[in-house]
Amino acid sequence: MKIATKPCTIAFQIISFMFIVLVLLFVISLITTSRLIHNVMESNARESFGNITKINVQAIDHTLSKIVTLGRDLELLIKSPSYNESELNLHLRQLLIDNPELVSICIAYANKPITSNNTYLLQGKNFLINPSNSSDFAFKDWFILPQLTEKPYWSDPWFDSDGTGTIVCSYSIPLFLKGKVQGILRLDTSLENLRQIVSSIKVKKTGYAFLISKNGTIVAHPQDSLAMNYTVFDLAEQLNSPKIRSIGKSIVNRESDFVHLNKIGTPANIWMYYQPVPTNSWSLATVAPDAEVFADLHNLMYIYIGWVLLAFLIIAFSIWYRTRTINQPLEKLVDSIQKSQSGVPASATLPVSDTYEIQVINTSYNLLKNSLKRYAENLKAVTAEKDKIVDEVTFASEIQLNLISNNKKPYTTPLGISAFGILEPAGLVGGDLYDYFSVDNEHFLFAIADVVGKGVAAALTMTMISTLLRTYAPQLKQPEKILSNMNKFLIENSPDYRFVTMLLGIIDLKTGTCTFSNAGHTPLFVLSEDGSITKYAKTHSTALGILESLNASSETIQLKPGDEIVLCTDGITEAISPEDKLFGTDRLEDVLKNLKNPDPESTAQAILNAVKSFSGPNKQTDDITILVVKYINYR
Amino acid sequence: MRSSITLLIGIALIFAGFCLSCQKKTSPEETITSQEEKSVPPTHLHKVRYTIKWLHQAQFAGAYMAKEKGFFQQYGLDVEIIQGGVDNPPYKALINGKTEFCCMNLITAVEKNNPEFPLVNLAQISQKNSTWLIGKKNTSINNLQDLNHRKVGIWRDEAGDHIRYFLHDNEIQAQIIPLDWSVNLFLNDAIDMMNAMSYNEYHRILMAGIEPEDLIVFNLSDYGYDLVDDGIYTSRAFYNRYPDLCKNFAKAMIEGWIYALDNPDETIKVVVRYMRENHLPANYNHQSWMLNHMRERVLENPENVGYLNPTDYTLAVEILMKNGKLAYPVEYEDFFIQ
Repeated sequence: MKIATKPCTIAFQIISFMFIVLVLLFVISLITTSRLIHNVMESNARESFGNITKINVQAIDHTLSKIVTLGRDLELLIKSPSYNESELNLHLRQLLIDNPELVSICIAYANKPITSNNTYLLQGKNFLINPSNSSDFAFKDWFILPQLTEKPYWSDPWFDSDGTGTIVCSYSIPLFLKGKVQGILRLDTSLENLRQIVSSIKVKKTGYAFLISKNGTIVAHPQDSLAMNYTVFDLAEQLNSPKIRSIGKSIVNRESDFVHLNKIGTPANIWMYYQPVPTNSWSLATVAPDAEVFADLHNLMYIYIGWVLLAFLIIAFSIWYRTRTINQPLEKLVDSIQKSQSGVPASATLPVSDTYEIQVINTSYNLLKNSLKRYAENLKAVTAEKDKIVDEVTFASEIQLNLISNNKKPYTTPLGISAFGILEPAGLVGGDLYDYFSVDNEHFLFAIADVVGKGVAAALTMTMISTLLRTYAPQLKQPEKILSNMNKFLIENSPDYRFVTMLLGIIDLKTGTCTFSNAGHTPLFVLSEDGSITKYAKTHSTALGILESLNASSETIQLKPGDEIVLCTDGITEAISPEDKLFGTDRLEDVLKNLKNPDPESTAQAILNAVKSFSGPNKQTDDITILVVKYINYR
Repeated sequence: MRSSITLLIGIALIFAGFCLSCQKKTSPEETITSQEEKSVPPTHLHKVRYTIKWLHQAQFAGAYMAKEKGFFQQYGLDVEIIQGGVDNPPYKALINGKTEFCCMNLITAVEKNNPEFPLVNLAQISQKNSTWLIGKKNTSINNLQDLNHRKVGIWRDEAGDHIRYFLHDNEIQAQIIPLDWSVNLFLNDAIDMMNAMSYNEYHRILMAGIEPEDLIVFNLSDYGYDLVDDGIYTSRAFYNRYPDLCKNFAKAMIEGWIYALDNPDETIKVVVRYMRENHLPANYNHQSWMLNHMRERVLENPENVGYLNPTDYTLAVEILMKNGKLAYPVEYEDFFIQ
C-alpha cells in the first residue's frame, strides 16, 4: 500500500539530510578520536600508576628490608660464641632506639624455660623484657612456620599481646643448633607504619592504595571493614567476579599489572595497578575511578560534542537562511501558479530573485503564462465556433433525415410495395443514404448509397445525391442513366476525392420486374417467401464520382410477390467484432435465412440487432444503413 | 580504742565486702527458682552462660539469633554467650563452673564424660560430619596411605582428638603438627595436609586463591568416621536440678537456629557484630558461606532438628573404645535428653 508522505520544505529536507550526514561524521569522528585518546591516556595512566606504586613499594620495602638486615645481624650476634645475655640486652635496647621501624624483638625457644623466651621492646624510654609462654607462641605462625620450613618467614599482621599490644608484622629467623631449629628470632615492625605509607598515597582525586598479603588478605585499606577481614578472593566471591579472582591469583603469584575493573560496587569502574613488595611477597595496589583516570578524555569529549552541536546549529541556521532566500521566490512562484490555476494569472505577483535558476523559471513562467493566456482565448473562440458548427450540423442532420423517406409515412410507398429503412450515422450526421419513392404510378424507385468518408462533407454530398436522385429519377426512369447523370454531376461539382457507391433499382409495379444498377455497392439480396435467398453481387459500374464516363449497365430480375429486396451499406458487412472479425455477407445471409414471416421492418431490425450483437461494446465506427423493400403485388 | 576502731572498721569492711560479693556472685543456682514456660510471660529472667566451641562465627548463629530475637527471653532465660576456643575450652569452662551450657563435638563430650562429672546432650545441632583432611594435589597425596611420614596439621587439644583417632585407626604414621587456627602453614607448604571444617577452613583456603580442583579432600565420613559435631551440653547435676530450664534452653536454641537459617542476611549482620565486638576478623562473605553450609548440617533431618541419632552416639562410643579413650560408658538414653 502506498503511504502518502507529507511534503516537506527544501530547507527542512536539506537540514535533515545534513543532520544525518553530520551525525554520522560526528559519531565516526568521536569513536575514532575517543579510541585514540583513550589508548594514549590508558598508556599514560599505566605509567603514572606504575610510578606511584613503584615509589611506595620501594618505601615499604625499605622498611622491611631494613628489618631483614637488622635480623641477620642480630642472628649472627646471637650465634656468636661471645654471646652474653647482658650485652645482648644492651644491644637490643640500642637497636630499638636507633631503628624506630623496629618496634619489638622476640627470641623464643621451643624447649627452653620461660625465662629464655622474651620479647624486648621500648615503652617510652623504658626498655622492657616480657617473658613469653611457649604454650602460647608454639602454635603461632611466626614461630611454627619458620620452625617447620627452616627458612625465614614474614608473617601476616598479628596481635602481639606479649609485646607492644599492637598489630605487628614479624620477620622470623630460625635459630639453628647442631643443624636443628632450636628457636626463633623475631623482629616486629608495626603494621601502623606500613598503613601510614599506604594511607598517604593519593591517586588522582579520590584514588587510594591498599596492601595485600601474600595469601591475598587485604592488610591495609582505607575502608577499615576490609582491612584484616577480607581477602581479594572474598571480594571476588562477594561480587561474583571471576576477573577479580583471576587478578587475586596474579597478585599472590607476585605478578604486576594494570587492570580495569567494572561493576564492582562504588565506584563501579576502576583502574588498578598492583606490584609485589620484593621483601615479603606482599603487594601494593593503587586504585582510581575510571572517571578520574579518563577525566581529561571525558572533558575533551564534552567540549568536542559541544563544538559539534554548535557547528551543527550554525550550519543548520546557515542552510535555513540561505534556502529561505531561495525558497521564498519559489513559494511566491508556487502561489502565482496556484492563482493561475484558479484563473487569475494576470494578478499573480512574480518573485524577484538573484538566483539564476529562479530567474529562468520566472522567465519561462512568464512565457508560459502569456502563451497559456493566448491559448485560453483561442480555445474560447474555437469552442464558441465549434458550438455554433455543432448547432448547425445538428440542424443539417435534421434536414438530412427529413430528406430520406420516412418509414412512418406510408403514402411514400405505392400499393403493393412495403419498405423500411434504417440509417444510424456514426457521428451527428452521416454519409449514408437510402431512399425510396414512386417515380410514377407504375414505377417504384429504391436506392441505397454510401458516400466515402463521414461527417459534414459526406453528409452534404449525401444531401446532394438525394436531391439529384429526386431530380433525375422522374425524367430518366432507368437506373443506369440516373447513375450516369449523377456521376457526371459529381465529377463536375464535387472534389476529386469524394465518391459514392450506390445501388439503385426501379420496380415495375405492373410486371414485378426490378431493374437495378450497382455502382460499386455491396450486393443486393432477394429473400423469397419460401426462405430462399438470392444474392446479386455483380456491380454494373464503378462508384460514382471517380470516372468521367461511367458506362453503367443494369440488371433486371423478376420479383415474385412476397419477395423482399434487402440492401445495406458496408457499415453492416464490415462491422468488426471485439475479436477483429468482419461481419461479412455470409453472416448477413445467415440472419436472413433464420427469419420467420418477415416484413421489411422486422428484417431490417433483425439485421441491425445481429450486427450490434456481433460488434459488442465496440463503438460504431461507420454509418449503418439498411433498406428492405417488399414486393406484394395486390393486383 | 584504736584496736576497737580498727576492729569495727574491719567488721564494716568485711560486711561491705560480703554485700558486694553477694551482689556480684549471683550464681545461676541462686537465680533459678522455678521453671518457666514459654507460654507464661516470664516475670524475671534466669541468668545462664553458654560457652561456644570456638570463636564467634556463623557456626553458632542459632545462639545469637535466639538471644537477639528474644527466644531465650521467652523461655525465661537471660543467656550470656561466651567465646570458647583454645583460650577457653568449653569442657573446662563447664567443669569449672564458668558456664552452665556449652557446645562440644559429640566425641569430645563422650570422651570427657566421667562418673564424677557426667554430661548430658540437650540437642545435637550439627547432624552431619564436617571434618575433612585437605591437601594440595601437587604434593602427590592420592590416598590415606600417602599420609605416612607426611606432616599433617591437626588442631591441638580436644578439637583435633577425633582426627588423631582417625589416623590411628587407619594406621597412618604421620608427623602430626599441632595447629591453632591458622591456615598459613598449609598455604605456605609447611605441612602436607591439614584438618579443616568443611564450612570454615576449606573456604578460607579457597579464599586464599587456591582452586578446588587443586585440592585433594578426604572426608572422614567416607572412611567410617561419620561423626556428628556440635551439640549442646550441660552437666548431669545441673540438668537434674533444672530439667525444664535445660530443655527450654535447647528449645530456644533450636528456634534460634531455624530463625537464623530462615533469615540469613539478618543473621550474618548479627554474627559480624559479635565478631567485631570481640575484635575478630569479620567477613560477611565467609560468614555467609559458613551459615549456608551449616544449614545442611542443622537441617539434615528437618523433622528432627536437634535430635541425636543413636547410631551417631554408638559410632562415637566405638571409636573411643577402639582408641582406649572411653572412660565412662553410658546408655544412649542417659546421655541424650530430648
